[in-house]
Amino acid sequence: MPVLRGGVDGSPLRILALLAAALAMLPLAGVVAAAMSGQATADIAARDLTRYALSSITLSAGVAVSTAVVGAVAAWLVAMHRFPGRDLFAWALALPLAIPAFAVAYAYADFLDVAGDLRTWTRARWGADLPFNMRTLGGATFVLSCAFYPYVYLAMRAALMNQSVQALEAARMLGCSPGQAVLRAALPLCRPALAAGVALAVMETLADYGAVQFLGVQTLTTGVVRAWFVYGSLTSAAQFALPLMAAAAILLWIERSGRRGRSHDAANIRWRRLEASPLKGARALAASGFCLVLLTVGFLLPAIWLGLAAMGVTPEWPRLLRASAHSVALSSAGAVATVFLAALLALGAGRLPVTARLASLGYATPGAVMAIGLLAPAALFWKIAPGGSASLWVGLTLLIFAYAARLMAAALEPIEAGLSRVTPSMVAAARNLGRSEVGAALAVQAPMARGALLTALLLVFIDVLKELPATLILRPFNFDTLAVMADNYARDERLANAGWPALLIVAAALPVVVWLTRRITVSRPGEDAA
Amino acid sequence: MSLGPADIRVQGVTKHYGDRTAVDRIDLELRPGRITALLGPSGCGKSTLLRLIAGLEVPDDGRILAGETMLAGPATFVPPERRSVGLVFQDYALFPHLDVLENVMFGLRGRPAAERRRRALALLDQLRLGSRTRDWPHTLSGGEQQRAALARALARDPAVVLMDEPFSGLDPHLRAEVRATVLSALREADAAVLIVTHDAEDALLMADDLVLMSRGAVIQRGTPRDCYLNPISREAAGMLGDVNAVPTTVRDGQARTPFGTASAPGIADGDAFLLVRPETLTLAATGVSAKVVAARFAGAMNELVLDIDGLALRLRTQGAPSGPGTQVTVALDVDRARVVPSSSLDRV
Amino acid sequence: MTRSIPLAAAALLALAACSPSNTEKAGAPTDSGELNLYTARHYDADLALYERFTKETGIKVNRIEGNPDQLIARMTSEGASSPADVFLAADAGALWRAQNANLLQPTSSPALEAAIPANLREPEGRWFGFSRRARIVAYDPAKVRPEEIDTYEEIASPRFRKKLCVRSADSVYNLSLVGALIEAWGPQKAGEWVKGVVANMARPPEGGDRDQIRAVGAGVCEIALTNSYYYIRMAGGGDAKDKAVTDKVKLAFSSLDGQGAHVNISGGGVAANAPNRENAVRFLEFLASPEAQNIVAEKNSEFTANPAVPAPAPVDAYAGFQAHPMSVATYGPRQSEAQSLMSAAGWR
Repeated sequence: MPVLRGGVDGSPLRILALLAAALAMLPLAGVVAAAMSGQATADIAARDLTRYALSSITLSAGVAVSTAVVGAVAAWLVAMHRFPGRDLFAWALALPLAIPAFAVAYAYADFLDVAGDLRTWTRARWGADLPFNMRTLGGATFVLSCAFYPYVYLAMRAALMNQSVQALEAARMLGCSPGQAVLRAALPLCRPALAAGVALAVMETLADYGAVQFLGVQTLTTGVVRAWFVYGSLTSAAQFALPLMAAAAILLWIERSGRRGRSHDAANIRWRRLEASPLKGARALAASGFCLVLLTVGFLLPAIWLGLAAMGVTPEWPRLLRASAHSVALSSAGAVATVFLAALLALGAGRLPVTARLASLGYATPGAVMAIGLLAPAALFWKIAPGGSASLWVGLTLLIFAYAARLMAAALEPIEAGLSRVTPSMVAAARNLGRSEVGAALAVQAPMARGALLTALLLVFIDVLKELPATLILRPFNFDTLAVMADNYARDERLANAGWPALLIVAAALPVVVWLTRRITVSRPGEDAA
Repeated sequence: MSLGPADIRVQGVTKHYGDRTAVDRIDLELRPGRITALLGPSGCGKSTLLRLIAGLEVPDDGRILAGETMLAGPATFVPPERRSVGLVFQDYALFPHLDVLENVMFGLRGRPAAERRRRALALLDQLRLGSRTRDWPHTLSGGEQQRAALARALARDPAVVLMDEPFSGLDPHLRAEVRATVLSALREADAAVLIVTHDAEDALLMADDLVLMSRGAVIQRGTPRDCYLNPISREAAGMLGDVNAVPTTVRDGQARTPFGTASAPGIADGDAFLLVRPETLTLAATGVSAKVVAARFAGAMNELVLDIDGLALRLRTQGAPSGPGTQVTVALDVDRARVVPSSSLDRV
Repeated sequence: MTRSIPLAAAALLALAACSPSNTEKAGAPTDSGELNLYTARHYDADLALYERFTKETGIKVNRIEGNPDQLIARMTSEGASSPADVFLAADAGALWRAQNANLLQPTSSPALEAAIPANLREPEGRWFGFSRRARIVAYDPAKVRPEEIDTYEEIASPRFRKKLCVRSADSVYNLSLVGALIEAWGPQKAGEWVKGVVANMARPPEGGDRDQIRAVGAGVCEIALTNSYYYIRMAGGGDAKDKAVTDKVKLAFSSLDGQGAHVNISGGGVAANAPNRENAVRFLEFLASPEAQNIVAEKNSEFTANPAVPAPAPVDAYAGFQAHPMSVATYGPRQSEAQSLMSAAGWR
């Protein structure tokens, strides 16, 4: 039953939601405006563009397939089996979320460098070079898969844990072996979660700024950058950006459809916990081994490399500490602003479904494209705000709103899930008991979604810690973050120096990631996720 | 019947959803101290009417007044939070993040804390929830949740209390008990009460005034007794309980039936029904002969399905059961049956 | 959410507390004893430079570092309200693009004109080069004799089929080099050269300049194109492994048409809407001073631009080369042509 339909065009929640959405969509509008203004003058051969597009597609598809397989297998092992180390792996497998993808790229590029110790050693030992190279499309796929598989892992694990054992038992009753039961009943039931996780991983792949650029893999983003920088044609750049944005929109749509499916699982009333089946002998060893390799490749190896790299360099503590303070403060403020806007959007989103989706587009928009889009609205802001671009507060405000535009989807998703627990009649009851629309939102919706709001805050916090493109182009004077410092060193080809800032990002994000994943582990359907 | 001013007057209210007319030009008056039951099948628009009164929906046409104050009308709309209306939702809509006491105190904002507490505790006591004040809503039974929701709605001393299908979620054996508690609390509150239900028993037992609704329109109103005994149509009769509709023809205010001639004052000549409640048919020594088609044991009563010259009739009797195939004689007090036109689309 | 409001306040307070306290006044539109720097140079050496400048003049340096073209885009967006006083970049092409976007104003300063040779600055004083780097060849002396690579033509000659390491065409350093070759040879011959380079590649372009040097050390290729300071930094740096590489790899200053090695600059100019114009000019003059020249050369292993300042150690060991006298201002306008040539030849 619709709540207060009709006659509510002046509804404050709706107006606030529209405002929040408009703010989040400004950069995208900026890109479209840039694409339509002026002449496209960049001389980029069709052959090159085809190559860029192909490598973008290959990279996305590669990351999709590998994160899907690795993430789903890991989730299936951890959620449905018992084997040595399972309880540790259950949360540890999400740890790569704490490492920025660009730092993983630094680590592997250096570790597997032609002139690095490993390859020099293998050449000396076996007279043959290792067949893989990180600075290739395959290497970039590997690096991004390492960084982003936790999205699939977490989504799939939650889905497997939340599904009722009854579906599996029904499958067994209908003559499936345990293995067939998983393939024919459990997997199809979790397909929405798988699609949603993979969509997130691919969106992150599209939006990645530091890693692919550092590895020198040329994607459509390269086309954008070339058109913009070398040929000085913002118009061409924006035009190349449009297909990327379309891809982002399609992925968002997929992720959405995934979510629709998931709500049915939660509605399952007769829910019984799935008993994990114990693995023995070689199988247990294989399961532990698989998880250990994943953890090593995705987290331990890059983290250790960062540590070793950092050890070889004397840290400049004053700069590092200042950058850390900037990063943490900016991430906190960015998280609060993003969650605030996302909450406004989510509260009004019931009546604005398309708007909410469009506002989420920034999440999958490539960094370079986002930079184009941010400049147009920023220009306006710089011109009207007192103190303009030179003012610290103007700069910070702008930056914080840029984060909100970029990361809206990351906050919107958990908040919408949390708000779905508030039934329309609860809101109506609050109105009936004397609260205005906004009052009801504050007294009922927000407190009921408290857990979800906290989750969103932490997710955005981690994302802002790792954020590069918006920070690079919009930050105020003398305001380096850890990510910017790491990027500066990497561009100066001083990878070892990039170790410290990257390590500090991990240090700041790690407790948050651990807390978040443990929270998901303990929450069960029907219980308050708070 | 109270002759005081109506607390709520609904005048010609209409509400459309797209092409569908959920509520069609309805008039309704709710008076202080009286319980009005709005009875109708699901989808008849009764819940929409309730939401219109609560201010959760905006009428497309017509007016809603509280005393002399316009709540909704052309260019006027008082939002729900500023109406003195207490609403009990079908799903109770208790706030899961607040305990029972906090739920009841929710609507009392703006008063001193001690007073809010005192008022809430008194209501909870009255509704026999005094021992559960600090419990979470999801730990309450259905009946307890229902009473907590009523306490919450009554806390603000509303001029009108609206209840949406108040007992539909309760186990049958709980209903009577909850109904009694709720009824006494409502009497105590002395508010105008509107209960929306599709359950005839609830409506008959609780209502002072009964309103029957179908397809967005009111089809009959009156006291429960009047509505039960004097249905104006086959549909209205069916809403309040089982009824046998015997086809007949009206000629000059008289209808000929197998049980004799029934008077049909004011009913136009033509096809009509004689409406016969199953309990008004009796097995008697003299009367119309019938064959038992089926017999069911239903506790206090036995229900027989009879065949009288191809006409199927249901009869309830406390007498001894007769097996299928038995020939019986059936009598009817024609004055306790009503003749209605076979097509009764008239509005009330 | 109620909880997050104090959190937001705390975060913002923390932001305020941890930002340098005097930045709020940054770039007030008067000569307020500050200088706002938009710099595409990202070397630690520059921090020492700014500190020195502040110490000497009392002018505080505010800086934003970034990719040159993003800075250009930002300045364009800021328009007349841009707080930028000075724009610095590590490539003559980037400086030209800033000039082309009307973001730089002409500066006439006798001190600058005296210190910086004419070919290292824009004719109208829109920008000046303050340090030089040669784009030359690192080679494996075990496989290559220095005279085999003493010209740029030889880099593309069949002698080095599949033996050359070079980074991607996205590198501004490569773009400026090819731009200079177009200037010297015309597009025809430059195009042939680019094709030769592509044919000579030992592997698809990957990594940065240092990676090319290390690849030569690892035997992946015999020669590599690199900026001089990367090699010099490796040779003089604290990293033992890097130092070991430079023991096996030598630097050859190839010559363009017998006139010397291709030289690119790091440089800067006064922003078109500089609010602190005087400070900006002072800063540029400072950069041309022997003191600043020494800091840059010493800490960043670049060559001095001011011919009156001899190269300090460790750069002095490499400073004896002949530099091509071509005006660096010619690279920028040729960069997009260079990109098209390289793309056509398959240089990724």
